[in-house]
Amino acid sequence: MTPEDLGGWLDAHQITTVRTEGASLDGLVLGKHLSRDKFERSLPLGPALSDLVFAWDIGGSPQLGWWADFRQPALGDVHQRPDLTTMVASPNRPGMADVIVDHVTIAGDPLPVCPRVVLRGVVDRLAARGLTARCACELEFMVFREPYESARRSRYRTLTPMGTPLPIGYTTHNAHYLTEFMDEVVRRLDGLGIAWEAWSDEAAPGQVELNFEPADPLATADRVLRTKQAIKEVAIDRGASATFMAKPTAEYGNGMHIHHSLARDGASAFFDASRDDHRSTDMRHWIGGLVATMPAAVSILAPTVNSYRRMVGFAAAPTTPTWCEENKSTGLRVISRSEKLARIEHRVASADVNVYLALAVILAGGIAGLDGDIEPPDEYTGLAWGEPPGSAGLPASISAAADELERDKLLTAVLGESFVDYWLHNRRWEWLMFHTGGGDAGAADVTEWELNRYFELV
Amino acid sequence: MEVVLEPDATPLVRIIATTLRESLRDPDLTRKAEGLRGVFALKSAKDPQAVTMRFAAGRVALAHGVAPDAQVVVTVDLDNMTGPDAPKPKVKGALGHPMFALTVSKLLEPKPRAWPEHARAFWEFTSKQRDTPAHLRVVCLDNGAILDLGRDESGEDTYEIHGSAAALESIFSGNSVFGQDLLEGKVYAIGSMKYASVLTGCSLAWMMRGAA
Repeated sequence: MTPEDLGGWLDAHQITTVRTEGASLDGLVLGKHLSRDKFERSLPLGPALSDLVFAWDIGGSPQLGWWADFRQPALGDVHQRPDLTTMVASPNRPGMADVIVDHVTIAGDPLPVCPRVVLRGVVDRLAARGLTARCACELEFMVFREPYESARRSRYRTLTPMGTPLPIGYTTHNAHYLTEFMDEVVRRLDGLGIAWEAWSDEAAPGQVELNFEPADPLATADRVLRTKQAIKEVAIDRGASATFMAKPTAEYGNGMHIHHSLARDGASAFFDASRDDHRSTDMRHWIGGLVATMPAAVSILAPTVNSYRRMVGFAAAPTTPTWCEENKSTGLRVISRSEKLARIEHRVASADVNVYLALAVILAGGIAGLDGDIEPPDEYTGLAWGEPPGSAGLPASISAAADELERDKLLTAVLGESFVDYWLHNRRWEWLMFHTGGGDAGAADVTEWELNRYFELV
Repeated sequence: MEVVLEPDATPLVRIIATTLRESLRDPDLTRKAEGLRGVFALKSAKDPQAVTMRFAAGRVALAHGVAPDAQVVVTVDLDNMTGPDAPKPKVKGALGHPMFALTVSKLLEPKPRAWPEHARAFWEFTSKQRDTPAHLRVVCLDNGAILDLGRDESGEDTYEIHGSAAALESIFSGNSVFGQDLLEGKVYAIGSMKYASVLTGCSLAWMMRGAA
């Protein structure tokens, strides 16, 4: 939609309210409900928000300890510049439209720490090489029968999973418990124009996996952002609760596997029919970059203290910087048996991830591989769990992951120093809040601090 | 004497490492510490934070939590360990290991230094960090004493911290964090949000410098 088309579109859909939707660093949806008049008057810069939205932690505390040039000398504003191509009429709130935004400074410059801006920058880097990416996410979450208010009162413990209490998945019996909830979710996704492929019950009690159609990276991220919001809204509207925490219970955790492929001039850049393994040189270097940067990328792909509870052996999440054809225990599952299917499934991210940043860091790793002609290590054809101590693994804590990202220069070269520096401070703040705010470093299972902080918001 | 931290140490482990290294500037205390053998744990009275100090063979190894074999366990208010209104710590096991408990307790309370001495050391560290003010003015509200650190050629690059001698000593020695003390009204400040934020980061890093 162009600015010239906006008035007609708002008329045609009888829109009286516009809700803006932008991603915070933690992946929360930031926005305002605006009257139609106010929304139109705010263009092209969009409505203003306090710049504290990028200096608050997820617990609502103002973060102190570092600075970035986009911030005002004391407290100031940032703007939410609407991307009018994302405008959609709400399928469940008549008269309201949603629009996704980029965060910009008061001068209109893209905010270097805005997740959507970061992803757009990486996509532009790919385009400069004549490449386009397609991505598809597998989003996992858990649904409980208690409303959020009751869940809060019980401190998010002893909740009733929607489904059998047994750790069993892919059964239509179990899925039937979820059908009313998920029918409403997909009805709203259809209304939002979000192309979904499938959903199924998953291995943990109350767990669902929702799969999306492949799309370009920005559209993919926008869809996941809106889907998370839609699922939480369905939970609220139906008196249930849903969470994207990586590990809200002692059962299997919530991951978000990210499939992606690369094309040049409309043809797969990953596939080479002339080679026995069908992997092109670009695919080999792309894998090399992803493996080389995987330990550093963990900081973004596993962003919370809770994320690391999922990353243990034999729990379906990878724990090593490895790759292999059709191996779901390695960090990367490579599929190269045909041009149509040629893709890589990056299996590290947890469902609490900021999807814009997840796609950005994965594509940045691949770009680093292309830039440096990085050859991948040997394929890891065994089961990549249960290795003896001393084996190379992925970082096992939010602080160790931040240290890895700080050491790595490949990702910073693509993502930008401003963003990486801000992110590192931000994650170390989260580490500090856990340890000094009541989190238990020695706890074997999820702590009350994690549940209070993440259950509803990530 | 070597102070060894576990990998990926918690904030409390890092802070205690700083405290021990500060105490070990005293040669007499170092000599006594080198002869220590035993396990001492310090835990928070308010939350799960805890650290175990394992002394042996002229070194001390620090790890989070309370080890099951700790001979002495001291429970304290970590936010107020040494102030005049500090609550009395709860001590377990000291009767069985009196000399060990006493020596470690001394190591955990470094000799006090006057706030200006601490402030100069803090500035030596801070002035090398990014985005810090060119000039830090510290004003002691007890007696009006002023300490100027660095120089502001432009006249627009100064930050001021005002507080009692005890509050200033707490921040500059690394016992508390500037931003937190500012929010709680323990100290006052004049200057930009930017410097309040950056100096808080420096204060945190200073508190944990012993981890380096």
